[in-house]
Amino acid sequence: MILRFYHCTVLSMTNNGNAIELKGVSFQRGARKIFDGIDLHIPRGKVTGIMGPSGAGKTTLLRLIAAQLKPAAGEVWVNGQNLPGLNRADLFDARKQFGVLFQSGALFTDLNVFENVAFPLRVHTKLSEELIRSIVLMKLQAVGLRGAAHLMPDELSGGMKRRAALARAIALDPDILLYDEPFVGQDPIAKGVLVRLIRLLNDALGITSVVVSHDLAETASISDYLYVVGGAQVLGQGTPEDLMNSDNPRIQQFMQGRPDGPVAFHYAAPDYAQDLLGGGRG
Amino acid sequence: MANRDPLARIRLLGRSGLHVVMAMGRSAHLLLHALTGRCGAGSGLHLLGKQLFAVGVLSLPIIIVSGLFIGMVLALQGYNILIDFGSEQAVGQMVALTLLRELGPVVTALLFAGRAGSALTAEIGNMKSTEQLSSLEMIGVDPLKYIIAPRLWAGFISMPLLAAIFNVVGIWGGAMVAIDWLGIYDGSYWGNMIASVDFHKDVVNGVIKSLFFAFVVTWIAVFQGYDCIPNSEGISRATTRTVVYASLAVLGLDFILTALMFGGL
Repeated sequence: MILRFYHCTVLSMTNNGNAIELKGVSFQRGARKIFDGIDLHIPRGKVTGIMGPSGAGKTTLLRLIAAQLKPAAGEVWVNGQNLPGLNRADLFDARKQFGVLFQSGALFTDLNVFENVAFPLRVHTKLSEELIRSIVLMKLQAVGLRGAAHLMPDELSGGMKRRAALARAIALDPDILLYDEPFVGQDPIAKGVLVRLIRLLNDALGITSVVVSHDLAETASISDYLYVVGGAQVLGQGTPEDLMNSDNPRIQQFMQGRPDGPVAFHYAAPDYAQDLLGGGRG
Repeated sequence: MANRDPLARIRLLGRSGLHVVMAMGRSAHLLLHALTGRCGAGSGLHLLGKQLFAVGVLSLPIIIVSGLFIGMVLALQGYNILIDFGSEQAVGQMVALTLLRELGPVVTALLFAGRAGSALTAEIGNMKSTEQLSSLEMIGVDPLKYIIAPRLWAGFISMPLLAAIFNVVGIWGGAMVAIDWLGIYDGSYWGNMIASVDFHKDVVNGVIKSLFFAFVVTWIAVFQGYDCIPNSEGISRATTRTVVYASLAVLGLDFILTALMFGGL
Protein backbone atom coordinates (compact mmCIF):
# COMPACT_ATOMS: atom_id res chain seq x y z
CA MET A 1 0.00 0.00 0.00
CA ILE A 2 1.21 3.59 0.55
CA LEU A 3 3.70 2.47 3.15
CA ARG A 4 4.99 -0.19 0.80
CA PHE A 5 5.32 2.31 -2.08
CA TYR A 6 7.31 4.65 0.18
CA HIS A 7 9.64 1.85 1.18
CA CYS A 8 10.09 0.72 -2.41
CA THR A 9 11.11 4.29 -3.28
CA VAL A 10 13.58 4.39 -0.42
CA LEU A 11 14.91 0.98 -1.42
CA SER A 12 15.48 2.02 -5.01
CA MET A 13 17.44 5.05 -3.75
CA THR A 14 19.61 3.03 -1.41
CA ASN A 15 19.61 -0.29 -3.15
CA ASN A 16 22.89 -2.02 -2.41
CA GLY A 17 21.38 -5.48 -1.97
CA ASN A 18 21.21 -5.21 1.81
CA ALA A 19 18.04 -4.43 3.75
CA ILE A 20 19.91 -4.10 7.05
CA GLU A 21 23.50 -3.07 7.74
CA LEU A 22 25.20 -2.91 11.10
CA LYS A 23 28.46 -0.99 11.03
CA GLY A 24 30.88 -1.16 13.95
CA VAL A 25 28.11 -1.75 16.46
CA SER A 26 29.10 -2.03 20.12
CA PHE A 27 26.75 -2.70 23.00
CA GLN A 28 27.32 -3.46 26.65
CA ARG A 29 25.32 -4.14 29.79
CA GLY A 30 27.13 -2.72 32.78
CA ALA A 31 30.75 -3.79 32.44
CA ARG A 32 29.91 -6.77 30.20
CA LYS A 33 30.48 -6.28 26.48
CA ILE A 34 27.76 -7.97 24.45
CA PHE A 35 29.03 -6.75 21.05
CA ASP A 36 32.32 -5.13 20.26
CA GLY A 37 32.31 -3.30 16.92
CA ILE A 38 30.48 -5.93 14.87
CA ASP A 39 29.58 -5.58 11.18
CA LEU A 40 26.59 -7.41 9.78
CA HIS A 41 24.79 -7.29 6.43
CA ILE A 42 21.34 -8.77 5.92
CA PRO A 43 20.62 -9.35 2.22
CA ARG A 44 17.26 -8.14 0.91
CA GLY A 45 14.61 -10.74 0.07
CA LYS A 46 16.48 -13.60 1.74
CA VAL A 47 16.11 -15.56 4.96
CA THR A 48 19.11 -14.82 7.17
CA GLY A 49 19.72 -16.84 10.29
CA ILE A 50 21.58 -15.46 13.27
CA MET A 51 22.80 -18.28 15.45
CA GLY A 52 24.94 -18.71 18.48
CA PRO A 53 24.96 -20.29 21.91
CA SER A 54 22.59 -19.15 24.64
CA GLY A 55 23.68 -15.84 26.14
CA ALA A 56 25.62 -14.83 23.02
CA GLY A 57 23.40 -11.78 22.53
CA LYS A 58 21.20 -12.96 19.64
CA THR A 59 18.01 -11.40 20.98
CA THR A 60 19.99 -8.26 21.88
CA LEU A 61 21.12 -8.11 18.25
CA LEU A 62 17.50 -8.35 17.10
CA ARG A 63 16.53 -5.53 19.46
CA LEU A 64 19.42 -3.43 18.16
CA ILE A 65 18.18 -3.96 14.60
CA ALA A 66 14.65 -2.97 15.66
CA ALA A 67 16.09 0.03 17.57
CA GLN A 68 14.56 -1.12 20.83
CA LEU A 69 18.09 -0.82 22.18
CA LYS A 70 20.56 1.91 21.35
CA PRO A 71 24.13 0.86 20.54
CA ALA A 72 26.99 2.41 22.53
CA ALA A 73 28.75 2.95 19.20
CA GLY A 74 28.14 2.25 15.52
CA GLU A 75 25.31 2.57 13.03
CA VAL A 76 22.25 0.45 12.29
CA TRP A 77 21.00 1.14 8.78
CA VAL A 78 17.59 -0.22 7.81
CA ASN A 79 16.28 0.58 4.34
CA GLY A 80 18.43 3.69 4.12
CA GLN A 81 17.74 5.05 7.62
CA ASN A 82 20.18 5.04 10.52
CA LEU A 83 17.66 4.08 13.22
CA PRO A 84 19.63 5.10 16.35
CA GLY A 85 19.85 8.62 14.92
CA LEU A 86 16.08 9.08 14.65
CA ASN A 87 13.96 10.97 17.18
CA ARG A 88 11.21 9.15 19.08
CA ALA A 89 8.38 10.02 16.68
CA ASP A 90 10.39 9.12 13.54
CA LEU A 91 11.52 5.91 15.17
CA PHE A 92 7.95 4.77 15.80
CA ASP A 93 7.20 5.66 12.19
CA ALA A 94 10.22 3.71 10.92
CA ARG A 95 9.20 0.64 12.92
CA LYS A 96 6.14 0.23 10.71
CA GLN A 97 8.42 -1.42 8.14
CA PHE A 98 9.11 -4.26 10.63
CA GLY A 99 7.08 -7.21 11.67
CA VAL A 100 8.38 -8.98 14.75
CA LEU A 101 7.57 -12.42 16.05
CA PHE A 102 8.52 -12.40 19.71
CA GLN A 103 9.60 -15.50 21.58
CA SER A 104 6.42 -15.55 23.68
CA GLY A 105 4.17 -14.48 20.81
CA ALA A 106 3.32 -11.33 22.80
CA LEU A 107 -0.34 -11.39 21.81
CA PHE A 108 -2.47 -8.78 23.56
CA THR A 109 -4.19 -10.80 26.24
CA ASP A 110 -7.36 -8.69 26.35
CA LEU A 111 -8.04 -9.12 22.61
CA ASN A 112 -9.08 -12.25 20.73
CA VAL A 113 -7.06 -13.60 17.80
CA PHE A 114 -9.05 -11.62 15.21
CA GLU A 115 -8.64 -8.33 17.11
CA ASN A 116 -4.94 -9.00 17.67
CA VAL A 117 -4.37 -9.30 13.94
CA ALA A 118 -6.67 -6.37 13.21
CA PHE A 119 -4.89 -4.14 15.75
CA PRO A 120 -2.08 -2.80 13.48
CA LEU A 121 -4.62 -2.19 10.69
CA ARG A 122 -6.95 -0.26 12.97
CA VAL A 123 -4.09 1.81 14.36
CA HIS A 124 -2.26 2.66 11.16
CA THR A 125 -4.91 2.65 8.44
CA LYS A 126 -8.34 4.10 7.82
CA LEU A 127 -9.62 1.00 6.06
CA SER A 128 -13.30 0.11 6.29
CA GLU A 129 -14.38 -2.57 8.72
CA GLU A 130 -15.21 -4.95 5.84
CA LEU A 131 -11.75 -4.55 4.31
CA ILE A 132 -10.07 -5.04 7.68
CA ARG A 133 -12.11 -8.21 8.16
CA SER A 134 -11.06 -9.53 4.74
CA ILE A 135 -7.38 -8.78 5.34
CA VAL A 136 -7.42 -10.34 8.81
CA LEU A 137 -9.09 -13.49 7.51
CA MET A 138 -6.52 -13.73 4.70
CA LYS A 139 -3.62 -13.41 7.14
CA LEU A 140 -5.18 -15.97 9.47
CA GLN A 141 -5.80 -18.31 6.53
CA ALA A 142 -2.10 -18.00 5.62
CA VAL A 143 -1.09 -19.27 9.05
CA GLY A 144 -3.91 -21.81 9.26
CA LEU A 145 -5.84 -20.14 12.07
CA ARG A 146 -8.90 -18.68 10.33
CA GLY A 147 -11.07 -21.05 12.36
CA ALA A 148 -9.50 -19.80 15.61
CA ALA A 149 -10.26 -16.12 15.00
CA HIS A 150 -12.70 -15.93 17.90
CA LEU A 151 -10.41 -17.57 20.48
CA MET A 152 -8.63 -15.66 23.24
CA PRO A 153 -4.82 -15.99 23.52
CA ASP A 154 -5.05 -18.13 26.67
CA GLU A 155 -7.14 -20.66 24.71
CA LEU A 156 -4.32 -21.25 22.19
CA SER A 157 -1.43 -23.72 22.33
CA GLY A 158 2.14 -22.38 22.20
CA GLY A 159 2.47 -23.09 18.49
CA MET A 160 -0.91 -21.51 17.71
CA LYS A 161 0.06 -18.41 19.68
CA ARG A 162 3.15 -17.97 17.54
CA ARG A 163 1.20 -18.47 14.36
CA ALA A 164 -1.39 -15.91 15.48
CA ALA A 165 1.44 -13.53 16.33
CA LEU A 166 2.92 -14.21 12.89
CA ALA A 167 -0.39 -13.27 11.28
CA ARG A 168 -0.34 -10.02 13.25
CA ALA A 169 3.30 -9.39 12.27
CA ILE A 170 2.43 -9.59 8.57
CA ALA A 171 -0.83 -7.64 8.86
CA LEU A 172 0.71 -4.45 7.47
CA ASP A 173 2.78 -6.25 4.81
CA PRO A 174 6.14 -5.31 6.36
CA ASP A 175 9.41 -5.21 4.43
CA ILE A 176 11.33 -7.00 7.14
CA LEU A 177 10.23 -9.82 9.42
CA LEU A 178 12.25 -10.47 12.56
CA TYR A 179 11.83 -13.80 14.34
CA ASP A 180 13.06 -14.16 17.92
CA GLU A 181 13.67 -17.84 18.75
CA PRO A 182 10.60 -19.03 16.85
CA PHE A 183 11.21 -22.73 17.50
CA VAL A 184 11.84 -22.68 21.25
CA GLY A 185 9.51 -24.94 23.23
CA GLN A 186 7.64 -26.20 20.18
CA ASP A 187 6.73 -29.81 19.48
CA PRO A 188 8.05 -31.33 16.21
CA ILE A 189 4.79 -30.70 14.34
CA ALA A 190 4.60 -27.04 15.41
CA LYS A 191 8.29 -26.62 14.55
CA GLY A 192 7.70 -28.08 11.10
CA VAL A 193 4.72 -25.76 10.56
CA LEU A 194 6.73 -22.69 11.58
CA VAL A 195 9.72 -23.68 9.42
CA ARG A 196 7.46 -24.04 6.41
CA LEU A 197 5.60 -20.80 7.15
CA ILE A 198 8.75 -18.70 7.53
CA ARG A 199 10.13 -19.87 4.19
CA LEU A 200 6.76 -19.66 2.47
CA LEU A 201 5.97 -16.15 3.68
CA ASN A 202 9.42 -14.92 2.76
CA ASP A 203 9.12 -16.20 -0.80
CA ALA A 204 5.45 -15.36 -1.31
CA LEU A 205 5.63 -11.81 0.09
CA GLY A 206 9.14 -11.01 -1.14
CA ILE A 207 10.22 -9.80 2.28
CA THR A 208 13.50 -9.95 4.17
CA SER A 209 13.49 -12.39 7.07
CA VAL A 210 15.88 -12.48 10.01
CA VAL A 211 15.65 -15.58 12.18
CA VAL A 212 17.42 -15.50 15.52
CA SER A 213 17.68 -19.00 16.91
CA HIS A 214 19.93 -21.65 18.40
CA ASP A 215 17.96 -24.45 16.78
CA LEU A 216 20.55 -25.48 14.26
CA ALA A 217 18.69 -27.93 12.03
CA GLU A 218 15.56 -25.83 11.60
CA THR A 219 17.36 -22.53 11.06
CA ALA A 220 19.93 -23.98 8.66
CA SER A 221 17.18 -25.68 6.65
CA ILE A 222 15.43 -22.41 5.77
CA SER A 223 18.27 -19.86 5.80
CA ASP A 224 19.94 -18.57 2.67
CA TYR A 225 22.70 -17.05 4.75
CA LEU A 226 23.86 -17.63 8.32
CA TYR A 227 25.75 -15.66 10.94
CA VAL A 228 27.20 -17.23 14.05
CA VAL A 229 27.76 -14.83 16.93
CA GLY A 230 29.55 -15.35 20.23
CA GLY A 231 32.14 -13.72 22.45
CA ALA A 232 30.93 -10.22 21.43
CA GLN A 233 31.97 -10.92 17.82
CA VAL A 234 30.63 -12.39 14.60
CA LEU A 235 32.43 -15.75 14.62
CA GLY A 236 31.52 -16.70 11.11
CA GLN A 237 29.14 -16.15 8.22
CA GLY A 238 28.17 -17.82 4.96
CA THR A 239 25.72 -20.30 3.57
CA PRO A 240 24.74 -23.20 5.85
CA GLU A 241 27.09 -25.45 3.83
CA ASP A 242 30.00 -23.00 4.23
CA LEU A 243 29.55 -22.97 7.99
CA MET A 244 29.16 -26.73 8.22
CA ASN A 245 32.53 -27.06 6.52
CA SER A 246 34.18 -24.24 8.46
CA ASP A 247 37.54 -25.00 10.05
CA ASN A 248 36.95 -22.44 12.83
CA PRO A 249 36.88 -24.60 16.01
CA ARG A 250 34.23 -22.43 17.72
CA ILE A 251 31.92 -22.70 14.70
CA GLN A 252 32.60 -26.41 14.43
CA GLN A 253 31.73 -26.90 18.08
CA PHE A 254 28.44 -25.05 17.65
CA MET A 255 27.44 -26.57 14.30
CA GLN A 256 28.23 -30.09 15.48
CA GLY A 257 26.80 -29.63 18.97
CA ARG A 258 29.93 -30.75 20.84
CA PRO A 259 29.60 -30.29 24.61
CA ASP A 260 33.24 -29.31 25.12
CA GLY A 261 35.65 -27.27 23.05
CA PRO A 262 36.58 -23.60 22.81
CA VAL A 263 33.33 -22.93 24.69
CA ALA A 264 34.20 -24.89 27.83
CA PHE A 265 31.76 -27.29 29.48
CA HIS A 266 33.01 -26.26 32.95
CA TYR A 267 32.44 -22.80 34.29
CA ALA A 268 35.75 -21.22 35.37
CA ALA A 269 36.70 -22.67 38.75
CA PRO A 270 39.78 -23.33 40.90
CA ASP A 271 41.57 -26.66 40.70
CA TYR A 272 39.13 -29.53 41.39
CA ALA A 273 41.38 -31.54 43.73
CA GLN A 274 42.39 -28.46 45.68
CA ASP A 275 38.73 -27.42 45.95
CA LEU A 276 37.72 -30.86 47.28
CA LEU A 277 40.46 -30.70 49.88
CA GLY A 278 39.14 -27.37 51.10
CA GLY A 279 41.83 -25.15 49.61
CA GLY A 280 39.62 -23.03 47.41
CA ARG A 281 36.52 -21.97 49.33
CA GLY A 282 33.81 -20.49 47.10
CA MET B 1 29.30 -10.38 55.95
CA ALA B 2 28.86 -6.63 56.12
CA ASN B 3 31.58 -4.66 54.40
CA ARG B 4 33.42 -2.56 56.97
CA ASP B 5 35.57 -0.63 54.50
CA PRO B 6 34.43 3.00 54.84
CA LEU B 7 35.27 3.72 51.21
CA ALA B 8 33.09 0.81 50.10
CA ARG B 9 30.24 2.19 52.18
CA ILE B 10 30.63 5.62 50.61
CA ARG B 11 30.69 4.00 47.17
CA LEU B 12 27.54 2.07 48.01
CA LEU B 13 25.86 5.24 49.23
CA GLY B 14 26.86 7.08 46.07
CA ARG B 15 25.59 4.24 43.89
CA SER B 16 22.27 4.19 45.74
CA GLY B 17 21.98 7.95 45.32
CA LEU B 18 22.68 7.65 41.61
CA HIS B 19 20.04 4.94 41.26
CA VAL B 20 17.47 7.15 42.97
CA VAL B 21 18.31 10.15 40.78
CA MET B 22 18.20 8.01 37.62
CA ALA B 23 14.83 6.51 38.64
CA MET B 24 13.47 10.02 39.21
CA GLY B 25 14.71 11.02 35.77
CA ARG B 26 13.08 7.99 34.16
CA SER B 27 9.79 8.66 35.96
CA ALA B 28 9.83 12.32 34.85
CA HIS B 29 10.51 11.15 31.28
CA LEU B 30 7.58 8.73 31.49
CA LEU B 31 5.25 11.44 32.76
CA LEU B 32 6.35 13.97 30.16
CA HIS B 33 5.96 11.62 27.20
CA ALA B 34 2.74 10.09 28.45
CA LEU B 35 0.93 13.36 29.04
CA THR B 36 2.12 15.33 26.03
CA GLY B 37 0.98 14.77 22.46
CA ARG B 38 -1.82 12.68 21.10
CA CYS B 39 -2.52 9.01 21.70
CA GLY B 40 -2.22 8.23 17.98
CA ALA B 41 -3.73 4.77 18.30
CA GLY B 42 -7.45 4.14 18.39
CA SER B 43 -9.82 6.37 20.27
CA GLY B 44 -8.27 8.02 23.32
CA LEU B 45 -11.71 8.39 24.90
CA HIS B 46 -12.44 4.69 24.45
CA LEU B 47 -9.16 3.76 26.17
CA LEU B 48 -9.84 6.27 28.95
CA GLY B 49 -13.36 4.89 29.45
CA LYS B 50 -12.00 1.36 29.87
CA GLN B 51 -9.49 2.52 32.45
CA LEU B 52 -12.02 4.67 34.31
CA PHE B 53 -14.05 1.49 34.74
CA ALA B 54 -11.06 -0.62 35.81
CA VAL B 55 -9.53 1.97 38.13
CA GLY B 56 -12.55 3.91 39.34
CA VAL B 57 -15.73 1.85 39.13
CA LEU B 58 -14.10 -1.34 40.39
CA SER B 59 -12.74 0.57 43.39
CA LEU B 60 -16.23 1.67 44.41
CA PRO B 61 -17.11 -1.29 46.69
CA ILE B 62 -14.03 -0.90 48.90
CA ILE B 63 -14.48 2.89 49.02
CA ILE B 64 -18.17 2.70 49.93
CA VAL B 65 -17.77 0.01 52.57
CA SER B 66 -14.73 1.73 54.14
CA GLY B 67 -16.41 5.13 54.07
CA LEU B 68 -19.49 3.75 55.75
CA PHE B 69 -17.61 2.09 58.60
CA ILE B 70 -15.21 4.98 59.13
CA GLY B 71 -18.13 7.42 59.34
CA MET B 72 -19.90 5.14 61.84
CA VAL B 73 -16.78 4.76 63.99
CA LEU B 74 -16.14 8.52 63.91
CA ALA B 75 -19.65 9.21 65.12
CA LEU B 76 -19.40 6.65 67.91
CA GLN B 77 -15.98 7.82 69.12
CA GLY B 78 -16.93 11.49 68.74
CA TYR B 79 -20.10 11.00 70.75
CA ASN B 80 -18.22 9.31 73.61
CA ILE B 81 -15.70 12.14 73.79
CA LEU B 82 -18.09 15.06 73.26
CA ILE B 83 -20.66 13.82 75.77
CA ASP B 84 -18.14 14.49 78.59
CA PHE B 85 -18.26 18.17 77.64
CA GLY B 86 -22.00 18.18 77.02
CA SER B 87 -21.34 18.86 73.32
CA GLU B 88 -22.65 15.66 71.81
CA GLN B 89 -24.90 17.67 69.49
CA ALA B 90 -21.70 18.72 67.64
CA VAL B 91 -20.96 15.18 66.50
CA GLY B 92 -22.19 15.90 62.96
CA GLN B 93 -19.83 18.83 62.67
CA MET B 94 -16.93 16.69 63.89
CA VAL B 95 -17.67 13.82 61.50
CA ALA B 96 -18.01 16.14 58.50
CA LEU B 97 -14.88 18.20 59.16
CA THR B 98 -12.75 15.14 59.90
CA LEU B 99 -13.88 13.44 56.70
CA LEU B 100 -13.78 16.46 54.40
CA ARG B 101 -10.43 17.80 55.56
CA GLU B 102 -8.47 14.65 56.31
CA LEU B 103 -9.86 11.17 56.29
CA GLY B 104 -11.76 11.39 53.02
CA PRO B 105 -8.79 12.30 50.78
CA VAL B 106 -6.16 10.39 52.80
CA VAL B 107 -7.99 7.10 53.36
CA THR B 108 -9.31 7.10 49.78
CA ALA B 109 -5.74 7.58 48.52
CA LEU B 110 -4.42 4.76 50.72
CA LEU B 111 -7.22 2.42 49.63
CA PHE B 112 -6.73 3.47 46.02
CA ALA B 113 -3.00 2.72 46.27
CA GLY B 114 -3.75 -0.71 47.69
CA ARG B 115 -6.45 -1.71 45.23
CA ALA B 116 -6.07 0.20 41.97
CA GLY B 117 -2.40 1.21 42.30
CA SER B 118 -1.16 -2.31 42.90
CA ALA B 119 -3.40 -3.60 40.09
CA LEU B 120 -1.99 -1.00 37.68
CA THR B 121 1.59 -1.93 38.56
CA ALA B 122 0.95 -5.66 38.23
CA GLU B 123 -0.93 -5.25 34.94
CA ILE B 124 1.74 -3.07 33.30
CA GLY B 125 4.53 -5.25 34.71
CA ASN B 126 2.84 -8.32 33.29
CA MET B 127 2.51 -6.63 29.90
CA LYS B 128 6.23 -5.91 30.05
CA SER B 129 7.20 -9.45 31.00
CA THR B 130 5.04 -10.97 28.24
CA GLU B 131 6.60 -8.56 25.70
CA GLN B 132 3.27 -6.86 24.97
CA LEU B 133 4.86 -3.44 25.46
CA SER B 134 7.72 -4.36 23.10
CA SER B 135 5.16 -5.68 20.68
CA LEU B 136 3.30 -2.35 20.72
CA GLU B 137 6.56 -0.51 20.06
CA MET B 138 7.27 -2.72 17.06
CA ILE B 139 3.77 -2.14 15.69
CA GLY B 140 4.67 1.56 15.81
CA VAL B 141 2.48 2.42 18.79
CA ASP B 142 4.04 4.29 21.70
CA PRO B 143 3.14 2.36 24.88
CA LEU B 144 3.57 5.53 26.93
CA LYS B 145 0.67 7.06 25.03
CA TYR B 146 -1.41 3.93 24.48
CA ILE B 147 -0.97 2.13 27.81
CA ILE B 148 0.36 4.62 30.36
CA ALA B 149 -1.48 7.85 29.48
CA PRO B 150 -5.07 6.50 29.78
CA ARG B 151 -4.22 4.93 33.14
CA LEU B 152 -2.70 8.15 34.43
CA TRP B 153 -5.71 10.22 33.39
CA ALA B 154 -8.11 7.61 34.79
CA GLY B 155 -6.36 7.84 38.16
CA PHE B 156 -6.38 11.65 38.13
CA ILE B 157 -10.10 11.75 37.34
CA SER B 158 -11.39 8.90 39.46
CA MET B 159 -9.66 9.47 42.79
CA PRO B 160 -11.23 12.88 43.62
CA LEU B 161 -14.62 11.42 42.68
CA LEU B 162 -14.02 8.38 44.89
CA ALA B 163 -12.99 10.69 47.74
CA ALA B 164 -16.24 12.63 47.31
CA ILE B 165 -18.24 9.39 47.44
CA PHE B 166 -16.25 8.30 50.49
CA ASN B 167 -17.15 11.57 52.26
CA VAL B 168 -20.85 11.35 51.43
CA VAL B 169 -21.11 7.72 52.54
CA GLY B 170 -19.06 8.46 55.69
CA ILE B 171 -21.31 11.36 56.71
CA TRP B 172 -24.37 9.19 56.06
CA GLY B 173 -22.85 6.35 58.14
CA GLY B 174 -22.15 8.85 60.92
CA ALA B 175 -25.76 10.00 60.76
CA MET B 176 -27.03 6.43 61.07
CA VAL B 177 -25.05 5.88 64.26
CA ALA B 178 -25.54 9.35 65.76
CA ILE B 179 -29.22 9.85 64.96
CA ASP B 180 -30.71 6.37 64.70
CA TRP B 181 -28.65 4.64 67.37
CA LEU B 182 -27.33 7.23 69.83
CA GLY B 183 -30.42 9.43 69.65
CA ILE B 184 -28.82 12.72 68.62
CA TYR B 185 -31.44 15.15 67.36
CA ASP B 186 -31.21 15.08 63.54
CA GLY B 187 -31.64 18.85 63.30
CA SER B 188 -28.52 19.29 65.44
CA TYR B 189 -26.53 16.74 63.43
CA TRP B 190 -27.23 18.31 60.06
CA GLY B 191 -27.64 21.90 61.25
CA ASN B 192 -24.28 22.07 63.06
CA MET B 193 -22.64 20.42 60.09
CA ILE B 194 -24.06 22.91 57.58
CA ALA B 195 -23.23 25.85 59.82
CA SER B 196 -19.61 24.86 60.40
CA VAL B 197 -18.49 23.48 57.04
CA ASP B 198 -16.99 26.16 54.84
CA PHE B 199 -17.15 25.37 51.15
CA HIS B 200 -13.77 26.85 50.21
CA LYS B 201 -11.83 26.07 53.36
CA ASP B 202 -13.06 22.50 53.87
CA VAL B 203 -14.59 21.11 50.69
CA VAL B 204 -12.31 22.75 48.09
CA ASN B 205 -9.17 22.12 50.14
CA GLY B 206 -10.17 18.47 50.47
CA VAL B 207 -10.61 18.21 46.70
CA ILE B 208 -7.21 19.87 46.14
CA LYS B 209 -5.60 17.34 48.48
CA SER B 210 -7.31 14.55 46.62
CA LEU B 211 -6.01 15.83 43.27
CA PHE B 212 -2.43 15.89 44.61
CA PHE B 213 -2.78 12.37 46.00
CA ALA B 214 -4.29 11.11 42.74
CA PHE B 215 -1.36 12.52 40.80
CA VAL B 216 1.29 11.03 43.09
CA VAL B 217 -0.30 7.60 43.62
CA THR B 218 -1.08 6.99 39.93
CA TRP B 219 2.32 8.24 38.81
CA ILE B 220 4.09 5.91 41.25
CA ALA B 221 1.89 2.96 40.25
CA VAL B 222 2.37 3.24 36.48
CA PHE B 223 6.07 4.03 36.77
CA GLN B 224 6.75 1.03 39.01
CA GLY B 225 4.98 -1.24 36.52
CA TYR B 226 6.73 0.24 33.49
CA ASP B 227 10.16 0.23 35.14
CA CYS B 228 9.99 -3.17 36.84
CA ILE B 229 12.27 -6.11 36.16
CA PRO B 230 10.13 -8.19 33.79
CA ASN B 231 9.79 -11.43 35.72
CA SER B 232 7.49 -12.68 38.47
CA GLU B 233 9.82 -11.60 41.29
CA GLY B 234 10.33 -8.18 39.71
CA ILE B 235 6.59 -7.63 39.34
CA SER B 236 5.85 -8.64 42.93
CA ARG B 237 8.60 -6.31 44.22
CA ALA B 238 7.28 -3.47 42.07
CA THR B 239 3.74 -4.03 43.37
CA THR B 240 4.97 -3.90 46.97
CA ARG B 241 6.97 -0.74 46.21
CA THR B 242 3.86 0.89 44.75
CA VAL B 243 1.84 0.39 47.93
CA VAL B 244 4.69 1.40 50.26
CA TYR B 245 5.93 4.43 48.30
CA ALA B 246 2.42 5.66 47.50
CA SER B 247 1.26 5.35 51.12
CA LEU B 248 4.31 7.16 52.46
CA ALA B 249 4.04 9.85 49.79
CA VAL B 250 0.34 10.39 50.60
CA LEU B 251 0.98 10.73 54.34
CA GLY B 252 4.00 13.02 53.87
CA LEU B 253 2.22 15.14 51.30
CA ASP B 254 -0.85 15.34 53.56
CA PHE B 255 1.22 16.96 56.30
CA ILE B 256 2.70 19.51 53.88
CA LEU B 257 -0.68 20.35 52.34
CA THR B 258 -2.38 20.55 55.76
CA ALA B 259 0.37 22.89 56.98
CA LEU B 260 -0.10 25.07 53.90
CA MET B 261 -3.91 25.05 54.02
CA PHE B 262 -4.69 25.11 57.72
CA GLY B 263 -1.38 25.75 59.46
CA GLY B 264 -1.14 29.43 58.59
CA LEU B 265 2.03 29.02 56.51
